[in-house]
Amino acid sequence: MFSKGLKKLMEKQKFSSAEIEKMLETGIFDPSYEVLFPEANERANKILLKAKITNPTFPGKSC
Amino acid sequence: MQKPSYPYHQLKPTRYFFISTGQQNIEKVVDFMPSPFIGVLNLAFGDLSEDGTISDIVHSNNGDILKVMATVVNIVKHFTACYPHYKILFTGSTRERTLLYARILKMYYHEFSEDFIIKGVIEKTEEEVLFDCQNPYLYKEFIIQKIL
Repeated sequence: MFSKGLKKLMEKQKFSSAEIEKMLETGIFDPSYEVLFPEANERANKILLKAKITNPTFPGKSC
Repeated sequence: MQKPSYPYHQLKPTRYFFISTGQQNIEKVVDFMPSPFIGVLNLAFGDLSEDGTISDIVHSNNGDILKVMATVVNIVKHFTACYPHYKILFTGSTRERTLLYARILKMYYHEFSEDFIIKGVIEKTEEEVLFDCQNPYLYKEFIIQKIL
């Protein structure tokens, strides 16, 4: 049984699981991909852009 | 983290849900979000409200923080088992929360380090270093990657 909040959350999701899996496999997210925590993402990205992070390894592989 | 945890559901490949049943029932969402770098995802989690929005700022004080954190760790393990090449970044919504995450990482370092390379961004220098549970650094952000 879905709660009200969960129902609303599910309604907001515009990409299917298959589409998201594809994005994860390529590492490239659609620019309109809905970020659930925009403030948290912005906060983390700010630190990430300033920090001297070593290059990530890629490509990813799904299950 | 071999602690009691909550069962969780994967709503989408990047999105998970569980219910914290402490003093009250609180629905939680964990989300892996794209960052400006390919191969790096930001991890966030927070409380789901009735209108479908999520907040990572609210202090729910539900009396089950360790169980909630153990659940988030299990979710990270599940996600990184599927996508092991991604680096996962996380930071607290407040400095206090970032300090709390650092304490948890220190407490369970020996267990986490079996599965993950753990790094931190030092608050003062913005440098990314290997997380060391013995050192006194204050961190701004943590980066974990599954050991392949």
